[in-house]
Amino acid sequence: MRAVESNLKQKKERIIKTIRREETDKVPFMVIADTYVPTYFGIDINDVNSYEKAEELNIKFHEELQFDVAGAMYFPNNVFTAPLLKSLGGGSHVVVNGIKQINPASVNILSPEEYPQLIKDPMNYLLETVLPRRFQILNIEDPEERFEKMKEVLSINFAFGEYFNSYEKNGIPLLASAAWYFNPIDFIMDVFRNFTGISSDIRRCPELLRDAGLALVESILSMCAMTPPSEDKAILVPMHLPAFIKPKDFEKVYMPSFKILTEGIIGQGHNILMAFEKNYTHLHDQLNELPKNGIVGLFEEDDIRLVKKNLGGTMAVAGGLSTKLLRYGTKDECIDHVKSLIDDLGPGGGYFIANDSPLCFPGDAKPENLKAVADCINDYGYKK
Amino acid sequence: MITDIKNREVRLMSEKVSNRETLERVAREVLQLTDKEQINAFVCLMVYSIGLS
Repeated sequence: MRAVESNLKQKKERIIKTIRREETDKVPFMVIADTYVPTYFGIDINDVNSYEKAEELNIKFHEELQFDVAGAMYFPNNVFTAPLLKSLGGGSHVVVNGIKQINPASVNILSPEEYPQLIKDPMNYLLETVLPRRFQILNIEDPEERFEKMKEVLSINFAFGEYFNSYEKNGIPLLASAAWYFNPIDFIMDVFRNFTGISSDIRRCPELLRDAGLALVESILSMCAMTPPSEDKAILVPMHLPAFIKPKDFEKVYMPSFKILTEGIIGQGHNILMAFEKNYTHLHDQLNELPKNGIVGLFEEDDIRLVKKNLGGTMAVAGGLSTKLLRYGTKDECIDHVKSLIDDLGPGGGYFIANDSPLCFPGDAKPENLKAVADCINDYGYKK
Repeated sequence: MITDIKNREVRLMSEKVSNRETLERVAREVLQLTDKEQINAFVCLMVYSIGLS
């Protein structure tokens, strides 16, 4: 067996055991670095103009840091996102200087009066009525031209799929599965209503919003069923709204579709990597109602020790590594921080030491701090 | 004259190919999918994929 394969196999075993909340030989190091990857090597994001270049950087990044798993992929936006948005003829995002950014003004394209139609026939209503308000491709009158444009969109996605496969081919363990989704209420907020709109819906028509979320569950399940589950992979699900709403609104509006969907996805054999953006301390009790297997919670602002205490019986826990410290601290401060996380959270298993927020911009971590952290984990992280 | 225009509109409406039909055609002709459930799953995937762009 080649060294790279053996190394990958060993890392995968660590990942699988940690997802199952079993102790491993080492606390696994998870890196979540998107557009930070080129900047680690002093390369401008805009100079990455091919998948080959992105792939080369991913290999170097893995060789340099020897992380156990990449939580998510590096998206070369100039190669994938920008051409995709061009082919679709619109989007709620724009690519500026190689970074994908949301354009909040373009999000609100659904009115609350339309929820009954969305609930009745969600996919067709979105496809024929709502999404054409944003995407020119869905308004092309000539059927042949529209068909050719759709083929173009598909070919952009195929090329990205090849890039996704390059992680495995190059011996880089990637936790994120090829499948993905947003929880229904987050999907409605992020794509159709924006934060102001959804906040108003929670107050004025919570039952309709809840039912719209429930109406989307079946389609997400059918979409995820297309990807075969793998025990060393997890579907990445970024979570947005719950951090900003009260527990009673979470219970009433978000939880019904979230819980059914999560149970369904786990039932299909998938793992889920839930990225709890911002702070979820107020929802720990509700999160304990989720299935007790197959979930990895990646926490951004919660006290990670409290998370493991409160939720460690339900999900594997990831996070804790302060991105702020990686950015502003000294090497020694970073090393002390890492040792303390390993000492406190390593015993018993079920913990991925991971940066608490994704690295995207050049200043998000000093390269020398990230390297010192990686070396420390790859030495001190082994079971004593 | 007005009748002619109205008839033309009616004809165009009846000839209009929906976005679902276009995506189903992509599923059949490009991806060679034949199973109805798989074709529907592909349509769902495209709705989410386009929506989140």
